[in-house]
Amino acid sequence: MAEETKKKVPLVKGMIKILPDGQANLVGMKCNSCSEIMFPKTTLCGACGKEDVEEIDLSTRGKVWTFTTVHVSYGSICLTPPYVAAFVELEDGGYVYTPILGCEPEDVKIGMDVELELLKTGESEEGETVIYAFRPVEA
Amino acid sequence: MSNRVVVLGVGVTKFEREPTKRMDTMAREAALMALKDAEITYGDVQMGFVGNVYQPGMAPLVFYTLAKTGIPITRIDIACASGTRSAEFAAYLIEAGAYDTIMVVGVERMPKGMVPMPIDPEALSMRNEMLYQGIVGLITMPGAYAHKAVRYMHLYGAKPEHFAQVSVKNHKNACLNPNAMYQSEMSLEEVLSSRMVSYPLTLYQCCANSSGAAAVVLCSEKKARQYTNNPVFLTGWGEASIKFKHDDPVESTLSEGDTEGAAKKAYERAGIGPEDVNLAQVHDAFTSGEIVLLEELGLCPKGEGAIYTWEGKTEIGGKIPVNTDGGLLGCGHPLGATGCRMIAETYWQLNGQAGRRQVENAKIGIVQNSGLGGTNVMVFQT
Repeated sequence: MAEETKKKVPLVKGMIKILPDGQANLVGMKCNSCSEIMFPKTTLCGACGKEDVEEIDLSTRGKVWTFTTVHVSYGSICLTPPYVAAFVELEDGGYVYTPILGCEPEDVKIGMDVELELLKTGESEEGETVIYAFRPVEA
Repeated sequence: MSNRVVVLGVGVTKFEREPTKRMDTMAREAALMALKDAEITYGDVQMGFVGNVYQPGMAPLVFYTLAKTGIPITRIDIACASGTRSAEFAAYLIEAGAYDTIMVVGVERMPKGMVPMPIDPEALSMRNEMLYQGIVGLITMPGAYAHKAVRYMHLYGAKPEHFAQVSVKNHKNACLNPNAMYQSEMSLEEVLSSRMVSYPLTLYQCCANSSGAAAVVLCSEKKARQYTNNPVFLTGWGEASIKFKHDDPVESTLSEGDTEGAAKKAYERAGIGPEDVNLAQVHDAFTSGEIVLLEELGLCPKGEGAIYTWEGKTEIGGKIPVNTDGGLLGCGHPLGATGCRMIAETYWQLNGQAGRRQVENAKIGIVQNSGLGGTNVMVFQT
């Protein structure tokens, strides 16, 4: 009998879309007034303040735009220093502030190709709670 | 009709690592020094502001211990920019002729360790971006500054030692300032080899918590002429928060505000350009901050801030002295007090009262002070 895979549940609602087959993408926002793509969603466009915004699925791939390695942390529910915090520029526009996992901090470089992954932070009644992170694309 | 604004007097307490005095004691000390320097009494003060981040109720706690004269008093909190934001509000009111003489006190009492962040477990149910980032561990105080440093090195080829040099300079300047928390020099090696906090920023490239107070008396030119023939004028000021920038996610997310925009407004109101500035006190909460700010304030060409610093151009005897009293790195950073300390140092410099820190021919000095939620730029001239 196949082992039941635990359902993945985003820790904070509204940021991640997880499909039944496990595929996931971040959910952002596009402004129809100024065309900015932003993540996460907000009620008004965070750039121009207009209300004509709509939800969009964001690319799961991007490049590291800048980063730092956190050695002294303010506390985290899932990360132990040293860990990398980075701004990733997504393929189809928009930026995400995210941990970078799956490599040594020294290996992170501006311009590096990365892709979305989900990191388990704990368990809830509904399944595994997850946050988003990015990892280097396998060469 | 608008009135010109004058800094009539200032007072700064010794900044301490471990607080030994109550907040109201420190505030009162600074306030009394400023009143004495201005040669006025508290009875002349028509309004009071206290810049303070952590303590609700500070307005009566500070001003009622001076006297109960019925004047309006208000606490301003915009994080580390509270001192200058208070002074700017005072300036607007004086310029408009609404009030003649206003006192601004900045005070903070802080334990050692990291600046407490608003991370609330309840935030798990909130879709608030900043709180979410806090839970995951993406938000740290060095955050924006570390990200800016890494991006800056990538764009302009700067090296970690260029940033570290800011700390060396500011600790050296602090030795010339009896109020500064730190009173010994630090070598480049010591700064670079201190504990890594958030790459590339090491411990000694991060300002330290501190306790202290600084006060400023602002008044109209008409009032000032009763006391001095050579007033220090506040000729221009500008204030801003984060302005979304399409190609710059750090600026749009973690920055302390559109300093470039605030500076433009300040220079325009003052009728000067950055090339006219003789000295600057800027928000060196972290070393990379001072370097990026040089450029945002137009004090050096884009991409040259690191080299300017490395080549000594921002030393007291250099082309554009920056943080002549030691800045946040050398003095320590009592959050609400810092902005008023910067104004005081500018006032002393323009009055020729800066002692061993004195910049020759100091006629035009600027202050840039920022925190989570805002940035302020002010131009002072004699």
